[in-house]
Amino acid sequence: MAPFGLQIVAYLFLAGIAAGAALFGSLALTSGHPAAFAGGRRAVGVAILAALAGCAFLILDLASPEDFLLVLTNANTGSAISWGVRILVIFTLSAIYVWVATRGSGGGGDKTAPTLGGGDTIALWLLRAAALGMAIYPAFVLRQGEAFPLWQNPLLVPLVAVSAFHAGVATVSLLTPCPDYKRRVRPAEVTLGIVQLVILVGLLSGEGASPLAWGAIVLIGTLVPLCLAVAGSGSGAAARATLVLLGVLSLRYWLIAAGQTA
Amino acid sequence: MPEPQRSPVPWENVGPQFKKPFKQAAILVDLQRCTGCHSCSVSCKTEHEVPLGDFRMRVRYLERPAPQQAQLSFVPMLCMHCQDAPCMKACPTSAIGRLDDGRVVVEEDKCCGNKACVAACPYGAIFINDDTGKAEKCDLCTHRTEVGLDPACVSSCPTEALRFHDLADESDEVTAMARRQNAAAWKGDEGTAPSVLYIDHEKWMEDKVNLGVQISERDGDPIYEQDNFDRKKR
Amino acid sequence: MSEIKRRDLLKIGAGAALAAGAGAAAIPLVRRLADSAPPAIDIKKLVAGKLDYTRAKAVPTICFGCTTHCGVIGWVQDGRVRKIEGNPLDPNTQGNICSKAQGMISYTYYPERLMHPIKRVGKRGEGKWKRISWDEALSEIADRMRPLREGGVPEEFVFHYGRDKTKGYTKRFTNAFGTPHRLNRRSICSSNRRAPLMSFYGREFEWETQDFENTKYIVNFGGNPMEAYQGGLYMMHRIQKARVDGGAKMVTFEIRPSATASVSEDYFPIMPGTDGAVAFAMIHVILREGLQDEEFWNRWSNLPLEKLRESVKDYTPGWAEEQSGVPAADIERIAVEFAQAAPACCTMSNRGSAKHYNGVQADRAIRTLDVLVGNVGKPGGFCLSSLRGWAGRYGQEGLPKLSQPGPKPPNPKPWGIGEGYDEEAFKKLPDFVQERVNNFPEKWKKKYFGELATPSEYPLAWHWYQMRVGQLVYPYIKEGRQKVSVYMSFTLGASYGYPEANVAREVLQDESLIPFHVAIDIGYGEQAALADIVLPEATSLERWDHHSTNNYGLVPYTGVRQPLVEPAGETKSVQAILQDLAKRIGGGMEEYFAFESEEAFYKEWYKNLPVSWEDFKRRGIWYDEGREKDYELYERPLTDAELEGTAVEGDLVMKGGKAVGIMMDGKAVRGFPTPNRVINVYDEIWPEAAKAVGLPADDVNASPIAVYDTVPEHRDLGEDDYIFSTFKWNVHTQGRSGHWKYHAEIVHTNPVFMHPETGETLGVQEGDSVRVSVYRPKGHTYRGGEDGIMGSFENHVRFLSGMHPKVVACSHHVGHWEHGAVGASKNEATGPAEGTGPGAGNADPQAAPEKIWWSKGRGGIGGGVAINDALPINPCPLTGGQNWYDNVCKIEKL
Repeated sequence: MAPFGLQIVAYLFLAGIAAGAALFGSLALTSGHPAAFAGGRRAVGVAILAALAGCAFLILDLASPEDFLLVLTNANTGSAISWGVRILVIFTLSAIYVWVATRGSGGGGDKTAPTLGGGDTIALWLLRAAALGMAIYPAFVLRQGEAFPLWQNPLLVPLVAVSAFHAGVATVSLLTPCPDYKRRVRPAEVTLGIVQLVILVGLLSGEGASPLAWGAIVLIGTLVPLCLAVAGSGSGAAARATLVLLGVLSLRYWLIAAGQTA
Repeated sequence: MPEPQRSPVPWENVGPQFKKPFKQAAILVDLQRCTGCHSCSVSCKTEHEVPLGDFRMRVRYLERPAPQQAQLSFVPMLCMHCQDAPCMKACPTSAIGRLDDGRVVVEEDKCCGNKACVAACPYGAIFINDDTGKAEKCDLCTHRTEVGLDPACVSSCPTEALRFHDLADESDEVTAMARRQNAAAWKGDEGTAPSVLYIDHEKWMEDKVNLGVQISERDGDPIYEQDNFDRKKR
Repeated sequence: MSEIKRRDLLKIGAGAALAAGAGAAAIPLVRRLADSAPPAIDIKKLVAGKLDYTRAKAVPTICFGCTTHCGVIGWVQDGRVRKIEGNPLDPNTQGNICSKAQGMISYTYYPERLMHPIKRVGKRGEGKWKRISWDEALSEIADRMRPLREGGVPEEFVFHYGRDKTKGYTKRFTNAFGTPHRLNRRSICSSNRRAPLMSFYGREFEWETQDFENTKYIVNFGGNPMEAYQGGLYMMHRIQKARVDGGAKMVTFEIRPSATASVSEDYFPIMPGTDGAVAFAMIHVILREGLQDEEFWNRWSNLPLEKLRESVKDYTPGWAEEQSGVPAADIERIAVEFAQAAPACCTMSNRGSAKHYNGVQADRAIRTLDVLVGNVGKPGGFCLSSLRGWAGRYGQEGLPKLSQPGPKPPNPKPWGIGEGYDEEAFKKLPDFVQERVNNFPEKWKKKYFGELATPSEYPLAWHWYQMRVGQLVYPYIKEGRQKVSVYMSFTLGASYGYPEANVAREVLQDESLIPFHVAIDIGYGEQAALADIVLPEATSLERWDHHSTNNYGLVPYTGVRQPLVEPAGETKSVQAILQDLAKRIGGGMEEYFAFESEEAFYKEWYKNLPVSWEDFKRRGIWYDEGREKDYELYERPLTDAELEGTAVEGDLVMKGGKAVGIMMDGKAVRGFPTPNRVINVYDEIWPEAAKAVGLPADDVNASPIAVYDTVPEHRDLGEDDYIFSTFKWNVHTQGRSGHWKYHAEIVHTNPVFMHPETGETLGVQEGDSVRVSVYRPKGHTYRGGEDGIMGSFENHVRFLSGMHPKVVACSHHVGHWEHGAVGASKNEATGPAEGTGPGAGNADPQAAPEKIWWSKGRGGIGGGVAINDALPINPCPLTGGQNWYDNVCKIEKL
């Protein structure tokens, strides 16, 4: 009996990317660097697409997709999904606003980044808050799945969030080169990598571990990119990012697959 | 005593005036009496035309641990109508609610089939009906209790292993029996506070039923064989 | 427009969308936060589409989910039966039912149910059919049958049924036609347990009625009322109440963890064929400890106690432990506990103890236990209560007489030489048969009707009444012992379920042996597949029948099966079919079928009941609530009316040459319906029958008193030899429930169950496939002693710690290759489309082939394996009961 399948895996993956890309993308937008600005906007754009695609998977996963509006017209204060759906809506709409508001930026050698007004800043912080929500709330949805003991593990909350952040950093670094890698990006990659590694080891020492989980999530998805980040320079970002994203995908898959049989 | 041929036949006593006004509708499962006959589960399927592969309730066959390993235990598993229901909490559309007598029901016109409830239930009591696309589970046969009949499973049990009673009424003889025999909740540690209580259920049973109601690949029952099973999973 | 301006416009739009979207999304959540109580639930919506019990019609009837036949209520809404519930007015069931009751709905509405008569095109068994009209079908059948009757060879019409609960209607037809060949499958079921009962207690008590309501101790030899057993449901609820509320204890000897074994206080796995040893040892212990009820024994048993003591002197608990594996100390304890609980104690045995070569004697020993402790007819004991109809038989005194409306056709003449015999038919028999029959005593000559109905080699299969030896029908036809011109199967599954079912199929497909085969059934099963014409029958929800059976509440009762809905499609009840056929055949047959309607026929049957027909139909059940329970029927004094015309000879009260009572303490009491009016622990009929057929006197079946001998093929069991046994599940009934969707969902496979240690020895794990190869039995039986493997099948293994380590077992309910998609576990439609037809309003979407989740096509484990071809025909000497549980086999890992 496994109520959640590949569509939910797809959503979790896309939601993680969306959350992380939007968060780090929005930070890039206010970093002051025109190139970072352009990359940040691209990341927000990717976040919108990922969120919309994820949304499509959620609707298709419904047993009655034609009734999908019920999750918005009805509400349940105790339901993580009920809150999460609102976070998703606010996230997507605020991301669209930010993307629109930052239109006409850089890219053509224009070294002037557009000024973001007061309203824009509110939207930006709204987006950041919503992104944080997007990163964390799936863990609470899983937690409400009381049929499955693995999902009751409190480590899932930080893990799912860290994994989303990790995905975000990876996505942004795929979309834009970072001139100041060692100072601006590497600390994030290394910190996230270490935190993720520690949580994963704690989690996989318990239930649900498998060689696949250790290999794909820990080794390929966390340890190797971490070592590369510690050892290397800014180049090879694409390789590290790809490994990280593979790890994020594997984690989401494992959470659903192993979680429902453990 | 009236001549048999002139008294009304019992099945004519059906109607809203016969409804039992319970405060906490409950079912008592007495494992001392159950013989695993499946009268309850098949009556339930028939009553609600439940599709093949899904179950509102199911009878589990469990090999007992030593020293009684030569014998089986029979355990009806059904929706526990929890007083603190995880399904009700998890449903984003508030499609799962409570009737006046405390029973937990799914309102299909509010359901979009996101399956949060299916994942939320520690007893596996909820399934998605492929024909309707909605979540479905035991509703204590509302269409029967509204007219004074007991739930189908209770009516059909030939050994009184299932009893319908008011858990909040200490003068209810079944409730009194439940107290006397220390009837307990299944997976009591989950904190779901079930209205369905079991007499004589033992801790080892909880590990063996997995979730309980829906079929799982890991089930070890000598019946409901579902696939060329993988021993590793058990 | 400049970039900036465009961006500003878009920003306003996006900002508006954000505000609106966020607001719209938030409002329902905020509202819920503010709500003090959740909104009220609309109950009307909740119950929409369900059965409306205030609108639906409830009609009482009799269940046909198995052979117990409980009183039930069927709820009908919009012309469709939606639910079956118990009839609380039934004193036997007390309102209870089991899962199989709902199976009636499954078999009435499944998509492949036959709606129209069909006739084969192409070769028999090819599976090609065309739809024909009833007129065509019945005309052809009548045209085939009439010449047999007119030509003086009516016996060439053979009617063979599997399940006939018309209580004599089909016999009316065969008698009117003039054929004695109304064959059945009693021997495949319970001959070996009925024979000992009738030997002890008389023809009337081929089945007992333990008073479970009041019992304190039950010793159960291989019985499984929690799952099967004739009358199982009546017993189940009483036993559980007695145990849980009344402190009664049940001890079970079994080979598997059946439901009955699992709820027993004590369960002992026992070596098949050794139940008798345990019973004998119990007798030994009871006598040794002096716990017998000597007064009762001396009063009612025809064997002096000393002779009993002598016969069991070597049957010690230690000896029994060697035979059976049951620990001697436990046998001692159980014997003492049983005797001390007397008279509120009883034995139970059906069919684990009896279906063996030594099974008849095992059951005689078990029956002796009850007589020994004097619980017969006592509260809580082994009681005897009225079974068959209410036609003024023993135990039915004072009951309104119920019998089939007249005129009733006479019985055919027995076959033999002389006045009043059918010499023509007799002289066609093989010489050795004629010789044997000519040397029979008169009592058997008068009952002999040829080899199919009354096989001469098995006189005890028809001495008390015709139990017959169904599993020899096909071999006998093959051997040429009886010419068959028209063969009619009725609710029969021999091609699937008989031992060596391949022989049945072989004979049925041979047109020189069976020139014409008509099958009457509700579904297209393996038997119908081999017919020339198939006639679709109305199901039990659509027809009438008379019902009466022994009441475990110990007060006789009767019920009526009546239609809840019109027969679907073009189906007809068997009563309607045979009536129509009789009229077409004519020649005087029609006189016995002249009633205007089926209801009129049954109304006449029940006319003596002290209630109106309408009231009886309304309640479905009648019994005299003021009547005393059937305790100690044998001590009831004969009334003055009963004494009229009698004379006392010795201590017997005689009337018209028959004993009707016995003198006890100077008073005439009823006694038991045996020739000597006492309990026949000693019975000459066994050695008499043995002599008549040339069975050696030292064969265990030839003994006049119960003795023990090991089953012949169990005597030198090798290390690699195991016993293969079959068994029944509670959700299935015989071989005719495989297509009931909710039941097949629960049990659709029949793995080889074995003890984990057995698995270890064989080197197999759960899920592995094995080949089970069965040897022919030894002893004086069909092809007894033939060397080599008789047959084999392949199946997967499951472990159960409750299995006896030397026994492996499969159920026989599943493994069908016909009976529709559910029956064959295929996720595609099967069976002749010509017979089903669209628009019958019958298709049950829940049973559609694509819903069969366990089918291989859906990635499931698939269905069962047909095992009966591998199980040898094995009729017990003298009685012909099939020794299903003796099979020796070897097991190979695949």
